[in-house]
Amino acid sequence: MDGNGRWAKQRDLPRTAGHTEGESSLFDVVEGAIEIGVKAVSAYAFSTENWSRSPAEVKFLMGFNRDVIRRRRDEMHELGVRVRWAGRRPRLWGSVVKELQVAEELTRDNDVLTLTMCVNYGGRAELADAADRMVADARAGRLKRVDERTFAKYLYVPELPDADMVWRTSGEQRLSNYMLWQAAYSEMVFTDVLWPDVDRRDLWRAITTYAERDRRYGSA
Amino acid sequence: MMASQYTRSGLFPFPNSNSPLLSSPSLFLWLSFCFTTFYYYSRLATQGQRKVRCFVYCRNKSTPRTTYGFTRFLYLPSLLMEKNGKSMISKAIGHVSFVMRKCLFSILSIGPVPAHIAFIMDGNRRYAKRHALHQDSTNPGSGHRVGFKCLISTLQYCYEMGVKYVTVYAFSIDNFKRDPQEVQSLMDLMKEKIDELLTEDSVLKKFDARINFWGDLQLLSEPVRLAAKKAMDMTVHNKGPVLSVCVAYTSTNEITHAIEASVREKQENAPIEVSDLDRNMYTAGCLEPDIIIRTSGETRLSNFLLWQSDFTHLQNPNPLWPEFSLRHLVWAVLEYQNVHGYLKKRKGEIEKNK
Repeated sequence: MDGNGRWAKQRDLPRTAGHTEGESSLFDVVEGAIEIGVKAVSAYAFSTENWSRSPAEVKFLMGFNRDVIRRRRDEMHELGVRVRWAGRRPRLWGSVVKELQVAEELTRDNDVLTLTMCVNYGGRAELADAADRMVADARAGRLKRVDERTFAKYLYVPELPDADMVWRTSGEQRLSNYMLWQAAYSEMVFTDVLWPDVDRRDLWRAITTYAERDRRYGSA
Repeated sequence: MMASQYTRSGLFPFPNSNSPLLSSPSLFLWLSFCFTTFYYYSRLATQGQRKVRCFVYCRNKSTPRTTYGFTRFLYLPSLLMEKNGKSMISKAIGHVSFVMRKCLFSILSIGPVPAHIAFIMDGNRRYAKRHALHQDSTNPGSGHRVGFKCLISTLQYCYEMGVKYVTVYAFSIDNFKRDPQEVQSLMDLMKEKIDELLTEDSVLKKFDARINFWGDLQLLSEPVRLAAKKAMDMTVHNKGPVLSVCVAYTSTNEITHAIEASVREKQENAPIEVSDLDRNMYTAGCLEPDIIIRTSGETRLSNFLLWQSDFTHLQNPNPLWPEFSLRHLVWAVLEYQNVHGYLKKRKGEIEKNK
């Protein structure tokens, strides 16, 4: 969900205005995903690298994430969306963790679409944390074999399938430490639109681009 | 006024003229062409004289001398003849191309030149199919052979430009799922080309480059594995740029390998951190790629350098790998230069926070 800051700068607004406007884009995209039959959407809400932003912006983002989850969880529950959290606990505000856990509990049995909120998430951090947990199990004798398949079970949301498509807005053509393991064979779709200007039609266009690709997974 | 006598140019002041040849940029190119032609012609003439010696007696008539006068033009027919199996014309074109590339790279180097470029060399088989290259049971890898030639020329351009690290995705672990005949031909081709890279006139020798092979080399056939090891041993002390060949490689395999290595070096119950995995990657000690280029228009990373591509600019030009040429490389660098400022700023902010 890239481009909030630039959207605000273009309109001479503070960066926080871009994040506020981006909320409606996210949930319009979620509804558009449900309409088209997508089963899982992961949104990169707050990266471990975002801590480097100004303290005021970080404080705003923490509070904003908490409020959005609280405000939208009932709406998501009615749509049949299951909310999951992928991210690290350290440094994350307790109030944000609490709202995420309440939303996860409320929507636990929903199966229309899984919305994974990546808050305080980093691809490398996820792999290091997974390695830590896996090694702990191996040392305790609970795990006999260490390979790629068993490793995948220790990711933040192990039941989430690998991403078919990684969609980045604002024209940036980078992965930015996002879903390193899960995006190994993902199709990257880069859209020039800034995130607050995105709606479900942009998602559908991205999916159309994805559908035209020939995925071979390294074989013939 | 004096200034009005000159064309508007920062390079070459010259009297006003309507001739396009005398306008500044084309003048520069024209002068380069003339200089190069004269320079190379002089070298050809000198070489020709070694074939047909002409003695000119100066004041001391007992001293034979080769001539540098008008008679050099008499040697022109012999200069165009085949010499050492390579046409003089092709050598001349090569020299002209080299000078033109030097000029081009000098201009490019006004902006930031990437230190590390990684290539996913996609499209060899489609190229072979499209161009109906001869593919049969004895030679199923013709597209890959053409692709190797493209790799050599791309390496040359990168090193001439000043790129320090070039990484190529030669063979994925997933590629073992292909037709066994194709896999075997790829293994044979790899062995042949590794040996070729170690010869005296190879691009590695020319630039004193070092070669690395990254991947689970135990999965390779023994001849290829031994050839790779020999190549790494022979070039380990080279001081020039680096070519890293990812063979029997996937990023997920690399990460798993790094985890195993981290566990072995850690004490009991010590947590594994990002820095531990970083240190045990195949790419430890190498700069992260500035650009990853995947040819043939595909926009997947296909399990290539996932860990290392945090700030990497991903590009997916349309040409198939054997069609990738200097102009595509130059365009890739220009695109990188366009985003470099922003990436550097973002990277700086994150490094400061660590």
